[in-house]
Amino acid sequence: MTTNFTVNGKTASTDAPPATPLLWVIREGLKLTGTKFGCGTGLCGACMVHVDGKRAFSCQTQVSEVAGKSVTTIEGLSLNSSHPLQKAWLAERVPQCGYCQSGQIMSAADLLKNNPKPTREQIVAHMSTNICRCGTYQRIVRAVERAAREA
Amino acid sequence: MTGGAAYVQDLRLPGMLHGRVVRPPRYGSKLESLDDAAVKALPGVMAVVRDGSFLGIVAVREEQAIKARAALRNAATWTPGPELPDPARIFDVIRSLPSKDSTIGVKSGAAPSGARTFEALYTKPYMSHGSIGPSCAVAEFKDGKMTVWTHSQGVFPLRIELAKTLKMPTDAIRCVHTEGSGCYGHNGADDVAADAALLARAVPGRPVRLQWMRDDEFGWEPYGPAMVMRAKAALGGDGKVADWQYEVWSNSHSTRPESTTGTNVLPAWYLAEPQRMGPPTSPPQPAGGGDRNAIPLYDFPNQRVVHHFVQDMPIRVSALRTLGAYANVFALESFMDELAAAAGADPIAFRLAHLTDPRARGVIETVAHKAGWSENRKGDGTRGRGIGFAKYKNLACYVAVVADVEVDRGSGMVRVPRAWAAVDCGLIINPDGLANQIEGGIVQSVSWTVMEEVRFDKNGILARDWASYPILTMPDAPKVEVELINRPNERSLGAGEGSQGPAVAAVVNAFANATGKRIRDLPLKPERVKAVLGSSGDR
Repeated sequence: MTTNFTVNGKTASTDAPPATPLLWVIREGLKLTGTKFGCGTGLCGACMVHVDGKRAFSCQTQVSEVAGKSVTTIEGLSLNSSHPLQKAWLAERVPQCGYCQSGQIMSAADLLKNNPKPTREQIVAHMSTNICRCGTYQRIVRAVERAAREA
Repeated sequence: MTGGAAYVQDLRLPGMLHGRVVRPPRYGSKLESLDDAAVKALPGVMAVVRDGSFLGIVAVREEQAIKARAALRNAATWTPGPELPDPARIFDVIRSLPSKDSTIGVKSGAAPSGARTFEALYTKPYMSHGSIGPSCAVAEFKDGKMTVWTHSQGVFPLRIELAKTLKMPTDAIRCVHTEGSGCYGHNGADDVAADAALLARAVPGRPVRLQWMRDDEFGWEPYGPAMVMRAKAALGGDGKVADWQYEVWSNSHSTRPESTTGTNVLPAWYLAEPQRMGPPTSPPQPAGGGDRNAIPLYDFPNQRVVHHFVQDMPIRVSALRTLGAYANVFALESFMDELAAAAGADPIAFRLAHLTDPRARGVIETVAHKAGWSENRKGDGTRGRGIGFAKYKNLACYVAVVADVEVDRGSGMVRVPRAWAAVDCGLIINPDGLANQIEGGIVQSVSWTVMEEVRFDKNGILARDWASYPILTMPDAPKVEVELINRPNERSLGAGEGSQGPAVAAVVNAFANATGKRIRDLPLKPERVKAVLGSSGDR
């Protein structure tokens, strides 16, 4: 059975079984490896993408759920890395190992879309879905604040 | 940040297949029987690989490998394997096992007279590396040669272990380092490389990518060891430490792939012809392993430090960021605060009274100023402030940390809203990178300190996911301010592991300052906090 959907503005289809997590279709089928596998249970946020403009754990989203919908991954967040968050992430030199950061940015982008000027409390509450083992949390907060300021 | 391929987890080679492994229910379980006919019939399955009690699967697509792994797990029957120790007795077990003892840092001065003596026992549990990306490798067996793309921290030692595991000549194996998710020491990187190589041998000419599942990583990686520290001291009439006696009991902090007499990768121990782990070793002083930072930097007239290196490991352990330094600085700096309180002295003044090294004094004085430290300030029952100091390995960077804590006496939750650090690592090469390392180290250490322990029972490891092994999330992360002390005329010193020890000390000392009660067993988990606060819980 084929599932048709849109990824980063382009049509995509997969013959993976309907219950297959979207994560594997993105990473293996579409070769978009910016979205990461971290836990498979929606507890780390490394697999975060947008479905119809709202964030979603791609490891917890079945491919059947995105039929006819629009999926955005880190690769499609902007042209030329020009999203204010991507620029802010560079300016604040956020990453250490970097593995969680694409998921962090996708979560933050979802926040700024709905709340362009979030408070610090709103930022940390929203971002509690995404863990970072290197401990870059305060730089993530600073980068989100900067992006909100400079957008 | 843009999604470009950065990690071995993202490596995609032509014709690449996906592997998964099925591990036993606990250490030492043996595969008793396997009914894999149904598994082999699953979509995409290319091979079921069994060698003794090593069990794995190769499939075309990753989701197919994951489904097949679940089916293979159900198809396998295992012997129970030896029971794990009672977790309630683990520290007694470690102290009762045979140990190789070494006495270090001895100083003999005038015998103290009329001194008051104090003693305290501290413990630190097993902790996980907790990499966000589970360990991964890609292996290809082609024309009699094995190539492995790996995020191992040592590709040459790994190659030797693979040669032993695969019974292949070393020069037929090539390990190619490829970046991975942060590992913070010896996590599953080497083991998964050996797993992938064993699977790749079953499908010659096709690269096999194997990423461990989350439960493989939590359940089977080598943890940071549980440790016991006992400190005794005599406090002279002048309010200064007259004698310091310290002992630390620990398993090895390095069972990396570098053994000359064994094979130090996990799957090798489960093959039909099982190989054995080499005898654990301990890195020598001055850097040390379990005794890293066990020798105080303070000027004590009499001093003796004993490292009880325990080789038998009831739980698999190896190198985790800072090795023994985190636990030793926790114990040493906790005890310094206890002695300061006994002497009626401010914790910072007490430390400075025992320190002549100007760079050590410099970081303490700098952080005290930055945090607005006020002498002898008492906590109010729920909020308090503490200090911790160390020179990492006694030969790298100097770091002092001040932390604030908030204790919810009802729930027993401990939060660290703010921390300050001062660091002196000589000539600073990359100021922002240095600050990032110090900040991140403090956040990681706060996470270790307030919530982390690998739980287990006699049936096995209970840490299997982020729910059974939670780490600090953004709302609970401290706001950290770092002061860098640049010394252009001093050589640059490593700073990536400098803040974890001072941070744990600052947090536990802040807890004691806040509540008037001291916790000597990590982590500062709610049930422990409530037990310590006891009937005074609603002060």
